Amino acid sequence: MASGSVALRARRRFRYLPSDLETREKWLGFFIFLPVILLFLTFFAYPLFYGITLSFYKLNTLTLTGPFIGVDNFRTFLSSADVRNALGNSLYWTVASLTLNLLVGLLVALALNERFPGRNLARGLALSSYLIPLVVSAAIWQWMFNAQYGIINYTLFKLWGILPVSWLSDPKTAMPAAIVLNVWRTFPFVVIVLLPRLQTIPEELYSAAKVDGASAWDRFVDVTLPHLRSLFVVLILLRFIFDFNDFTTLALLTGGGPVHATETLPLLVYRQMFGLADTGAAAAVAVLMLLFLLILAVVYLQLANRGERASA
Amino acid sequence: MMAKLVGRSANVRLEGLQKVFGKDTLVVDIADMLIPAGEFVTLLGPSGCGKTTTLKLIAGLERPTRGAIFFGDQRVTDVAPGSRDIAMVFQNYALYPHMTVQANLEYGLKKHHVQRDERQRRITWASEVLQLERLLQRKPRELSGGQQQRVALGRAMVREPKAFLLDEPLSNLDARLRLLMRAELIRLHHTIDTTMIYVTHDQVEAMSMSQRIAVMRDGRIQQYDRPEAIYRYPGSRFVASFIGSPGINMYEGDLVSRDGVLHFVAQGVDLPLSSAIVERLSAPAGTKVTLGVRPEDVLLHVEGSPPDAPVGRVTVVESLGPETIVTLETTVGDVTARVLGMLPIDFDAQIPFSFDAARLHLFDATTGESVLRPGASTSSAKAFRSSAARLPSLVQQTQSG
Amino acid sequence: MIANYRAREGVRTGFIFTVTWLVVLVAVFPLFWALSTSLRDNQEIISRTPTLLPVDFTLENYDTMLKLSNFPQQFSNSTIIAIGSSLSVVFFGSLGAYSLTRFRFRGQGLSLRVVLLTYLFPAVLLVVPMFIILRNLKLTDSYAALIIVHTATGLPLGLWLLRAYFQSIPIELDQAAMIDGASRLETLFDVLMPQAIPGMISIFIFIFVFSWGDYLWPLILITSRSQMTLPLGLHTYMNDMGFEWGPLMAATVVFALPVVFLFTFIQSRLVRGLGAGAGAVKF
Repeated sequence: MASGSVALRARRRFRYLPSDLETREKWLGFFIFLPVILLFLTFFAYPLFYGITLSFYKLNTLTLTGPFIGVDNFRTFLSSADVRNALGNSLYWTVASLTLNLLVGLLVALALNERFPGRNLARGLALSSYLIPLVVSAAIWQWMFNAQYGIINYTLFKLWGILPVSWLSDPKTAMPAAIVLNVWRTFPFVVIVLLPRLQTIPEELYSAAKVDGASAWDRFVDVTLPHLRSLFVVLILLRFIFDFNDFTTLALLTGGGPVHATETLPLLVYRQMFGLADTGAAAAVAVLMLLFLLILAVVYLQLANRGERASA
Repeated sequence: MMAKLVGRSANVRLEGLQKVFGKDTLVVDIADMLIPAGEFVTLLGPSGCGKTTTLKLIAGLERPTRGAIFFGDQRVTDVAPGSRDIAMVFQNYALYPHMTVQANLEYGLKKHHVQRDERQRRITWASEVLQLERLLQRKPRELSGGQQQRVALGRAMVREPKAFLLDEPLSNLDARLRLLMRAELIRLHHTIDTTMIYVTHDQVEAMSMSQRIAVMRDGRIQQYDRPEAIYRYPGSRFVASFIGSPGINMYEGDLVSRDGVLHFVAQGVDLPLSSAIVERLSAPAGTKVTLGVRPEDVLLHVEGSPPDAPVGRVTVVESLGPETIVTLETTVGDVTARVLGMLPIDFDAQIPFSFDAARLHLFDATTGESVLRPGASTSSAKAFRSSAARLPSLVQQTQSG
Repeated sequence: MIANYRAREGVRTGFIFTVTWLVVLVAVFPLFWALSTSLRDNQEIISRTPTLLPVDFTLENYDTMLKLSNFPQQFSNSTIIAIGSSLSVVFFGSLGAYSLTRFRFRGQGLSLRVVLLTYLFPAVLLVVPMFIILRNLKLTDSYAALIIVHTATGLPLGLWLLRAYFQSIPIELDQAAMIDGASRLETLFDVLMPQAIPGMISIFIFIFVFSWGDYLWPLILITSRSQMTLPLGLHTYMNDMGFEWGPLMAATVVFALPVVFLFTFIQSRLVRGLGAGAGAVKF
């Protein structure tokens, strides 16, 4: 009886499979990866290149037909007030959000690193703003920023007698208000990145510094910061990219207004495509964004690496 | 049970087997090796000698760069591990953590399409033999090291494979458990009579459990023989010093012919060689040789000594209970001796000693190879337990291939 | 001197305590305020002197919300798409991670780095081409479209995380399974994936949260009301005539619920480090 006997034939279902076990394995590995590659090519690489080629046309969004105009789209940008405005707004938005995020994130991470009653609960709650759907947050903050009934104006008036501000309808205050929302929502990202590293700094380093006579500020600069340096490099890069590319936050909160005061480059792309029905121009702006980011990233990483080597 | 398993075992043959890692690191280089069906064979050697890689090649977990592997007369080099009908016990057990013991035992059987009744029968059998009945519903992380080990063994046993491959299964156990499991394995092999290929760096394990040991170094087999033969007639310096604890004593010297008698001459030592040694000698006078003497072959003359016996000063005494290890400082170097019983010896005492004339080992100082042909009692027939299921001698098997 | 030191430590801890709970307050307030607003009637909402908690509790806003603007349909759409995307990412991510960690073929390292690069690119650049492609495939305005783009967006992250998890699973388990007769794919499903469950849960939750709250893709790809997802639906409602804050706040509270629920799940994981992969296997 041989209910468990197995024929020792090399299992060959198809005659076309190579007989060598090692080669069969290599191909299997590749085939398993194939779905990922296909997904990537079809839904990323191909659209990317397609999008870049679109920027060389003047296409009508509705009919998607139009003439090839070469680099005309890009030439008009140099003189386009829209583009200059959007670029300025993008930089304002990105740099301000980034700076505030780092400051707030660092402070909160430092605070959450300490031991105090209720710390675990505090950690969970403090970081919750990141997970709430953006639509929800945008809607709520719109409500809070409401000029007549919003709680913010009410509180400001009640506590400090400040007259109501039309946060989202005044071109001067719209961007700052949006930045407040952005920082409120994304600072947990910074905390989540910094906190684990903070927790690995050995207590002894601080004790040794204390014994050496270092003040709290000294300890922060000489013990804490060096451990965080590499993370900051990554954080700055990532947050810059995310904020620079962010469309949804501003689209939901202000729609780019008032009077394009909060129209950043992504929003301009959208407006070009659906407002002005010029798909080619929209694609061109997007390509510009891409180039800008790539150059910035490369330059930034070079500087960062040189900095690392210098301090090493 | 026994009748079922005996005869299913395969002999394993390695032919021109080579494995190269990276660009040019040859980790395994075995020209020809036959592991007879049903035998317990150990691959023994220091770490990095290629023994585990060889095992993995036999298992199919690594592919050879050159050469072939046969199970019986079937070429299995390109057969997937799962189809080779083998079972393996890993050094850290590799039990499936998310499955119960029962599921762990069943997994291989399910994959080989064994019917449920048969699966149950085998699992019940293995659990009884290994005393796993109470543990069947537990998960691996709830078990002790020894228990996990037994489950790993059980997982292999239920497969009723053509060969068991064991990769240093005892090295993660504490000393006491290791002794117990050694006995278990010996008993197991006796019960199920299947080919077992065992890898270890522990020569005590190899000596105690195997019917045949392959001592490996740098990917090659230095000597492949029964434990007794390897111990008594080591083929090289390396094998001689690897086997035996405490290690063999080694002294450099020359073969000198004087008055028609061959002597071993070294610093402060002039040892005439007995006829028993000389008739096995294959090197001429004048050769530079290394003399090897095992500690148990060193005689300490505490009371009354033969004339002209050299004298050594005691530097270390280790009383182990059943035996005592004594190290003497002598003109030829340090001599370690092993004496039965507890010997009351003082430090710095001067003790005459001599070497058992028939139990010397001589190696060529340049090549390291033994210059003594193996002595009597090496007939391979004695290596096999008489059993109708097995072919009587290694030589015959090679011829019938 | 010692008393002084202890006092300073006490003040320090107290200060940190206060600061932290202040931050918590700021983080949590908006959602609380939304909840509070949703429970009051319109009178109170537009009053010039709002109170922290409603004077008169009412559920009428929830009632209105359920009846207006297709909320239940959108909720179910969002759920289906979020679950579909998360499962796809887990599935394809596991396949990809398996291939990257347990096999060797040319271009593995490159593949991983290139795939991660996708996060550098502005989504807006991809919007038009994707719209055109999906329209040609006649897939716009459907669940499939959103599931596809969400999966494609989340896959790099999934690959990254699952790869780290798989790498921490000892290869002896694979070897034991292979010797037991499992095929390569059986090894993946029977042995590796059960070990990587914590990682798969994390990814599931991340992708779910992303898909649940995504606004851009539904904006581009969905046109018919019945196919809308919640983010799009909510914003559309805000631009409708007769829009009221009360029902809107009710909608946002309900919309945020699943996320809050999932969030309590991963709370401890988040802070213990996203570097993950550790602790996946016990020996």
